[in-house]
Amino acid sequence: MVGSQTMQAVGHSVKWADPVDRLTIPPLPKEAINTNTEGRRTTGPVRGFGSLWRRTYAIRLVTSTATPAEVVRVWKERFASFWPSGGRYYGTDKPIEAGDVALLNLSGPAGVTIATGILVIYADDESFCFISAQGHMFGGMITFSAHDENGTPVAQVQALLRASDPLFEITVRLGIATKPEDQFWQGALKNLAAYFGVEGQPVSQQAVLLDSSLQWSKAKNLWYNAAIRNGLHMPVRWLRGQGA
Amino acid sequence: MSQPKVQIDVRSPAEGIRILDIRGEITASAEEALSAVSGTAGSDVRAIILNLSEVPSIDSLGAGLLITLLARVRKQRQRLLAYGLNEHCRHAFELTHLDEMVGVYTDEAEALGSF
Repeated sequence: MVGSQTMQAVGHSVKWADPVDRLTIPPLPKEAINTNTEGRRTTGPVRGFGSLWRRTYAIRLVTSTATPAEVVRVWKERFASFWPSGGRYYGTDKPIEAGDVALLNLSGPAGVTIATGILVIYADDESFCFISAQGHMFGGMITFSAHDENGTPVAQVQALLRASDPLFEITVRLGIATKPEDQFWQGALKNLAAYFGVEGQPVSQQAVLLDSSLQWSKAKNLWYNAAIRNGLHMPVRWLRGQGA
Repeated sequence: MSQPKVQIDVRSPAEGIRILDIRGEITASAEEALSAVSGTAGSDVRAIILNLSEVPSIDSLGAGLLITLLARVRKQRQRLLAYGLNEHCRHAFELTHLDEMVGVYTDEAEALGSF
């Protein structure tokens, strides 16, 4: 495998990506907006500004006989197709693996499309993990995994998040950023469940405030704020006839 | 959920310093053990050192636990250090940027020498 470190541990193929200095976005379709991601560095909760939260979403695939590894294999293969409306994931054509970079186009306020990115930092047979790029609203790490719970496969999204900058922290505290985030991952998990023939199953959700303090040394992340940068770029796209 | 695959012993080689000798993989199953031992570090503790020389691997949820531990330690105005990282663990620290806030050393003597 190119661009990833492979090590064996307890029967799983455990992989961390090779560290990268700056992100290089894969070839994109014409409609994709890539105004604030190419060449950016990764962030994650260590480099974030706001309070540290752990948000966990899970769905029980009650009628499925799939193993956790089968659930994650499908998730890696069809990741973009499980995204709810309001977001586009532009990754590679292959199943997700450590070292992949993807562009995200997310619906923002006032019709602005927020363009940002992620790096797949880790993948094994039963999980994979993204870390966010500079400009993303969250300095975050999100692990997608599946496990067995008394014979039932459970798919889970666990996000470790700090708002990236003071502006995004305000939106978190007002609930403006977290409500869409919650709805988004609930929708993604329901779409994944539907693929396995599971309909109408609720998504459990847990939010834990791990550290209420702010990392003021990271306030300068505001410079890369994707909402501001894409908002400023929007008139240019209108003039070019490319939409928001 | 997965069974615990990690064992953590605590020792104090010097006043105000706790070393956590961790044996096994650091995964989500390590949460209880890490919380328990870090919770015992009182106000007299100024640094917690992770001995990772017997940790073969860390997965992404395990890395998340270390980020949570880092936040807790910093809130108590303590330092978090680590030593004995293999190549796998070094990758994990670098990709998650833990290495920017956790002092990483080759061995115990070097870590203790940083005080």
